[in-house]
Amino acid sequence: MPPALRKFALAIHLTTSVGWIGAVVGYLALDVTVAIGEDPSVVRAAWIGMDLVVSGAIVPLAFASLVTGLVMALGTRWGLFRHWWVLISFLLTLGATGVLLSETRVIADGAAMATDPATSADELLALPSTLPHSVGGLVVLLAVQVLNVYKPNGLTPYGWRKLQEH
Amino acid sequence: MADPPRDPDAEGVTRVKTPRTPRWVIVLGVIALLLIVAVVAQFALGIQHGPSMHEIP
Repeated sequence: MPPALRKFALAIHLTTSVGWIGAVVGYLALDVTVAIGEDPSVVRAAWIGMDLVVSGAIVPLAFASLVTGLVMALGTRWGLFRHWWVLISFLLTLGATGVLLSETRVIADGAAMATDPATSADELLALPSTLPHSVGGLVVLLAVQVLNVYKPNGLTPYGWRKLQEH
Repeated sequence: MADPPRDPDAEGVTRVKTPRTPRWVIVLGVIALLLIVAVVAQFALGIQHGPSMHEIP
């Protein structure tokens, strides 16, 4: 990949990856409100906000981060399967995106209940939050971030074979 | 006559070993394994997990 294009792709990858973390932190604030909130109107607003943040920011940023990460790995000397830190980052991102997509339906259902005038305050407050998944997701994203910054040494067996070939 | 199999320890033959898996990869692998076991155990013990736990009883 030409250096100018590589830098451009890296800038997009960094922006979307860090943006993803930021969006999850914003989502977490709403999720905590759902978990501990006692005012039905605030909890109702939080569910609607969570749905908007997920569909409008977190999911697009997750896909953009995944795609640009693949472009960076496959388009540079790092490769996707040569270094442990790249491979593990990819697997963690893939896992986080999978869990996110499964949670999207749950959050949409919660938001639909929140907007439904027929939903009583008790029913709304009884809805469990998605806190375990959002906290777990944030931990995974931070782990990926640390791996990408520190780039710990270690070649995979495939990377070692490729190194011997050259 | 067929060639005898090459002895990797014979003189003149260089054996290239794959380096050991780094410790941090093993640690992460153990953590991932424990998490997978925890999730599987949740399902096995019938503890609600996933979208079903968000349904109103």
